[in-house]
Amino acid sequence: MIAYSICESPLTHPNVLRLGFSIWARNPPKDYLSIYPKAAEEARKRAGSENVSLCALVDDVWPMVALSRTRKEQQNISDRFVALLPDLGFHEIHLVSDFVKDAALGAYLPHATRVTMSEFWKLLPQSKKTISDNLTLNEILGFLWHIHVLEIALGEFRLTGLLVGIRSEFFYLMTRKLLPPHDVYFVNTS
Amino acid sequence: MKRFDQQFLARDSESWVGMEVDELVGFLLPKCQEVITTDRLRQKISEHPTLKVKFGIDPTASEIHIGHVVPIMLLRQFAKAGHHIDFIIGDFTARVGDPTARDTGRVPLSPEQIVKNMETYTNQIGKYIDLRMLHIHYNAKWLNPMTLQEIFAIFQQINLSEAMQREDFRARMRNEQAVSLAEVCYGVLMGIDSVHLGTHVEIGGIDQLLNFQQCRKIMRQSGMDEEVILMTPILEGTSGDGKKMSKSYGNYVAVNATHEDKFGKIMSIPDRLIGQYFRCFADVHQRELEELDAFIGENPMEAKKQLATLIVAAETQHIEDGLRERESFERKFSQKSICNEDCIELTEDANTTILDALVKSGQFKSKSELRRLFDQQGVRVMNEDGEVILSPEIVVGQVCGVVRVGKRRFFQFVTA
Repeated sequence: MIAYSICESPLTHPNVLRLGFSIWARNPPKDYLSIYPKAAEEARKRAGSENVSLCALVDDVWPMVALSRTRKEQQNISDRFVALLPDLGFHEIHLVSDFVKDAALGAYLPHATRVTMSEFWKLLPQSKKTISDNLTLNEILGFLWHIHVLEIALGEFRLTGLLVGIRSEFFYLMTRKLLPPHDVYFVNTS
Repeated sequence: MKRFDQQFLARDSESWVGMEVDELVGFLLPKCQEVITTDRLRQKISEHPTLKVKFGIDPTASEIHIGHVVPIMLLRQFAKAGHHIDFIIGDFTARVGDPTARDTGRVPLSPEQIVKNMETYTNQIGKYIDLRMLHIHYNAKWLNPMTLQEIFAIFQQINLSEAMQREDFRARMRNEQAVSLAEVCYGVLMGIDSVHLGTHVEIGGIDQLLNFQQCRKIMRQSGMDEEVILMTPILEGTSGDGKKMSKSYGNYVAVNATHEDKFGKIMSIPDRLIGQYFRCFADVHQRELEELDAFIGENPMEAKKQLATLIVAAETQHIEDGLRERESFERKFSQKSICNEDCIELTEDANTTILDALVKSGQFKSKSELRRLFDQQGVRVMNEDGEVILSPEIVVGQVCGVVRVGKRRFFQFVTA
């Protein structure tokens, strides 16, 4: 289930793994997400830890902005994440609108100085590369926002690592370059 | 002999409030390499009794040279005509780094560096423009708190491929040099400044063209009338090898240089630059250009002395300061007459080598700089018979007369 992992962070609580899983609340949650609690358990065994706590980081801010949703429209979808994810085995559910207090440009633009355009291009999925002429600067904005969310979550929830889909491999390899030390477990999702 | 230095300096203190549109444009255009567009400039001046004129700087360096002052001199013309000057200090954009004319990325500045640089920067430009005429803004004030929704709405209108199509970016990528995401966003942030301030006219160097085009686009997409752009040339350095004035090329005249140094360096520029320097630093009207160019062509040495006089005097607004330097320069170099005031007196043991004595004077950056001057036969003793080249091993006791080091530094030795 776990394709590979990078575990280098100095764990403050080696007996308890605290893993974050970030998801964009664009559409209602689906059952396939149950793979992540299973992967978290596998990560626990690999690490030889006694316990694992899997925190869902549900981004309800970006879809609201990117899809021009009203707060109420987004709330309907976010509520379904809050309701379903514990049943699938997630231990904590955190909405980004609850824990990211500073959504101002000055908070996340500085990350843009540390990423080159070539590196960014590698992060884009093939589906976007094929329509590259239609992409806007919001591709960059979305990337910076996601980094900002993860940075806050790592500190706020004392996460030791992140659990991510293998398709987002390049993004999370970049995240490791930009953010404080943390482990990453790449999960085979296909 | 026509005295352009006195004529132009007298013009410095004039008020141009209420000046006819064509008359004002006639003063503005000689300072510009490019205007987008002149017709719109005339129209804007006609429509707005008080134009909102923007000039922005990123406080990336603490000490500036007169090349940096060129757009300030244009800005000053708008201020004299009573227009509203928005002076943007890019404390936010400096954290991002302007990619303009860079073959590598700029290092973003810390907030502490920005504050320190700004203090020294404003002290220096204050010699050329009355700081009270400026409405100073720090762009972090509006850029920093922009919400995700606000910035999204703007970024959504900018095509990523188009933003990457800048020739400087493409050149860097061809050379496998990095272009940061922040640099790609830089022009958009400048555009947000213009939208925020409702800018009518923006001033800057010609190297800012690509950023300005982005500004105009952002304004258009925000439903505003595009700003008019006035771009000044990039001042060529004193050495005359075609390179822009730059500290790294060593061909610059520092704003904080002494009057003597300024005068001397201006006198070292090639004749073909005299006209460009006059246009940059004096209020020359279009109708005067022909006469000025003819004067320069017929009397290049006199024109250069007047230019140097003007640049020195522009700092203090006293023609006497410029004329004093001119008199001193002519005495030293035309008449080869050096008086005690021109010399730095050094007291040394008679057996000290001249190299060591000059190093101890503290007038040179390093011993190696001095060695180079000796190697280039630039250290000479001046006496009644003319000039004699000195070697570094000569001791102070053997030297009789004034020692000239390089073109403009003079020393007199007294044995202890």
